[in-house]
Amino acid sequence: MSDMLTQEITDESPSLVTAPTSQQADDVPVIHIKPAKGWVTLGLRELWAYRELLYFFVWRDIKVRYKQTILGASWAIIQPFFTMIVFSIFFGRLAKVPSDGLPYPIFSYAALVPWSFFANGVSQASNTLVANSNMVKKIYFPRLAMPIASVLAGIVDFVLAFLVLLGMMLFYNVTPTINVLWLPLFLLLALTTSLGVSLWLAAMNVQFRDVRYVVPFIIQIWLFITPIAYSSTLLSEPWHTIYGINPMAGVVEGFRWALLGTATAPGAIVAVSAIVSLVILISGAFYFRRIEKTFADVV
Amino acid sequence: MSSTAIQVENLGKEYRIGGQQKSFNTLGEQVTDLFVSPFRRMGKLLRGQATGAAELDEKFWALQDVSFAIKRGEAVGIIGRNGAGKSTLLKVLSRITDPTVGQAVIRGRVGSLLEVGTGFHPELTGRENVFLNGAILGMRKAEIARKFDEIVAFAEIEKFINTPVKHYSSGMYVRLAFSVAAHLEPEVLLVDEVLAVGDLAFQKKCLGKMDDVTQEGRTVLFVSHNMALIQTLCQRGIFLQNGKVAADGTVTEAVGAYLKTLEQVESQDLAHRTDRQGSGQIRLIGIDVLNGSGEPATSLVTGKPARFIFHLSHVMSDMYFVFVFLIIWGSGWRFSKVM
Repeated sequence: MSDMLTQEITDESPSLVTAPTSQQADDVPVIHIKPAKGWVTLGLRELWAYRELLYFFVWRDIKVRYKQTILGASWAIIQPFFTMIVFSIFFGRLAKVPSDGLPYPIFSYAALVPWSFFANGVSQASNTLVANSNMVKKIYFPRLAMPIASVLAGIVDFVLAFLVLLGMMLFYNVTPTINVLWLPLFLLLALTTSLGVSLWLAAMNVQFRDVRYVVPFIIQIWLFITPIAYSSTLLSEPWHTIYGINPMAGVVEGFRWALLGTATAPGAIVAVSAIVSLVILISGAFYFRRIEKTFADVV
Repeated sequence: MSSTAIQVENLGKEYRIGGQQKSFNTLGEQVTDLFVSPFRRMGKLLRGQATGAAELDEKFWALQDVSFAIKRGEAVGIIGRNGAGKSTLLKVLSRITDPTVGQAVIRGRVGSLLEVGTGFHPELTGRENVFLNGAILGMRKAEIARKFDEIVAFAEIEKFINTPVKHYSSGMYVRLAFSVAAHLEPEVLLVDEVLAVGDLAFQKKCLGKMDDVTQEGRTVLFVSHNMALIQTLCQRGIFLQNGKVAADGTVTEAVGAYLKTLEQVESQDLAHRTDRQGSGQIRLIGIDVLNGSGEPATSLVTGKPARFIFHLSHVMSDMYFVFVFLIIWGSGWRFSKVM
């Protein structure tokens, strides 16, 4: 066995000896290692070069997420679905919260699906660097890949929960209009928001473990300041547009409009949400990149 | 094209022990420190332990003014005592942490192996982990697929490749992890103290593989405490002491310089030990180890003469005894016998 192996290795070695000479000169990357000074770049080119690693991180997160659970991937559905039931009983039935003329269950579930994607993304991604601290300390790779992969992996859960939403639309006889074509854009908005918030929290979590305790709290508060259990139409202009400062308000209203055909197109609120979301994402990415040099020393 | 693979100039890495680098687990601790540390600093000033602001934060240079150039295809051993800065040097060259001053230029794809099995996930199977770990170490998916059979055969775990690694024995785990890492083919390879893992037979295989790597014309930096290994694998050695390059030359020179610094370690007094066995009819009361030039030594260099002097007491004139002297390799996998 080992003889065969050494045979293979020696067969390969001549090419290895001859390869790294002048003919390959242009392929050889040159790495400059210097102390970081001043502003940083986002390093998107390098992130692109490491896209296979990003793919493997996403794949790992998806594979591992429901290992050793009894209910497995059905958790992706149970979570928003049961929240919907509770909301329907307490807000829909008892408090009689207006639901834009739609059946309350589908009204709240259509909001809970993107919300769960956002909330799970933030709680998973904000912990990635600390959870993988051994990798951060021992291996070089673009650190951005970790939170990005963590948020992207949540798309699988989103799709599962979304299938249930489609089933409910059939059940309540809600036919989507042509507006449904906008849906990917709203999902993208949920993704940028989730990623932006995660980048801030993940980077801060390296230095301040308080973040671990703050995240569930933030998410809980955020759930109630987002029009999930109620409709943003309760607010009149200009407050309705200003409400878009919470990017998830734009996402949720966008989902309802695209799928359930609520009365007016949420143009203004979505525009505000998109701007805020991008600001969070870009500032988060720069903040992350700026302090990532210290991750290996601090984590 | 330049024939230099790694060019390091005045590289320095500073860690702050008193301030930021202290790991605060909560914001609360950091806030507390914010209030407490001014008093602590003042105390230091009053006690005369520090004379200026610069000395207040305890700073520590893990690397200081390190410069060297390594040619393409060279195999270099980095040696030195614990805390000499060997691992920090590899971390800086692997881009895991930033240098504080100075710079380094590396030409070629860098693969670094600072720990075996980083990034292995216990819930994933051996097969899945090979791909994941390969990607983490910088291999392309196609490259891993091409070498997959070779990796599994080297680790000798064909039967368990579809079992989650959490069910592996620790030996199987490190074998697979080492095997993935050993099949990296970057132009520049940085290896920290993971030259061999597993049982004796597998360790031999690992060393054989490492030897192949150096024969293949790749640039390799090895960090190890195993002088004999460093001497077989490398032509050149760099000896780090307190973060500085103390010697840079042939591996024999560097190892020699390193061993010389270790020779101040005290030796045990055998004559006064009470935890000894035997009838006491003859007692070994001391061993002197001398190097070729007759100076006391605690470590010896391979290929150089050495002298061992044994002091015995209670020897009676009509006594017959057999004297056996064994040299056993530290890790236990090789020994030589001298009578």
